[in-house]
Amino acid sequence: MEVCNKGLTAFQRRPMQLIGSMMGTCVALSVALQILFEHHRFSRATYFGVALLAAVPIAGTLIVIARYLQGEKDEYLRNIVVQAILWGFGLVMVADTFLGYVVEYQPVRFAFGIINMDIFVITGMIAVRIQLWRNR
Amino acid sequence: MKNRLRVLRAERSWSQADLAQKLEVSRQSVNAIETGKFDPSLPLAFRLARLFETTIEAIFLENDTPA
Repeated sequence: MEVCNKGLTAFQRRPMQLIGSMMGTCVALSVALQILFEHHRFSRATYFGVALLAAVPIAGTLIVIARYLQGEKDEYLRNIVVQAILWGFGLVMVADTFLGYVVEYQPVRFAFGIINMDIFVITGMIAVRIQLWRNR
Repeated sequence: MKNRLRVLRAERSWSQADLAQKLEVSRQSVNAIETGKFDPSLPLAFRLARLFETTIEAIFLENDTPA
């Protein structure tokens, strides 16, 4: 059960593929919703309902990770994945706090959905790699 | 927590990968336990003890216990 790109088990490869597709869906949905909101007017309820769609890939990612953690038999791997998730959430909070202030006082826009997802997934993967490298 | 895993493994001429395979964990897990970076759960500690045909206390030592 060697953990590197080549040696991933099917059980470990599947969540990575799913998270990759969630990232792609997140980008596609964010772009589509941005275009939709720029060209159409919606009622308040519809607006919130459609905006919820942007959160679906993020919720999906959390479900994929939760299912992986539930099924992973190796407690050490579970441990480092949980640590990686905490790093991911932490950096998302730092980035959102910073960007939140920027958006509030400057006329700039950010695709928060894409930023949050990318920071979370990339930070998490880097954190897992570092932990595995430290115990190579 | 200190442990005698490396010694017990060497006595049997097992590599970390061999032990990992017998325990059905990753080699990194074995390395992390051996180096004291990760303390295994009780079920894994029992599996180790059973594999080495000894007791948990004979494998794992408290930090202030001389190895």
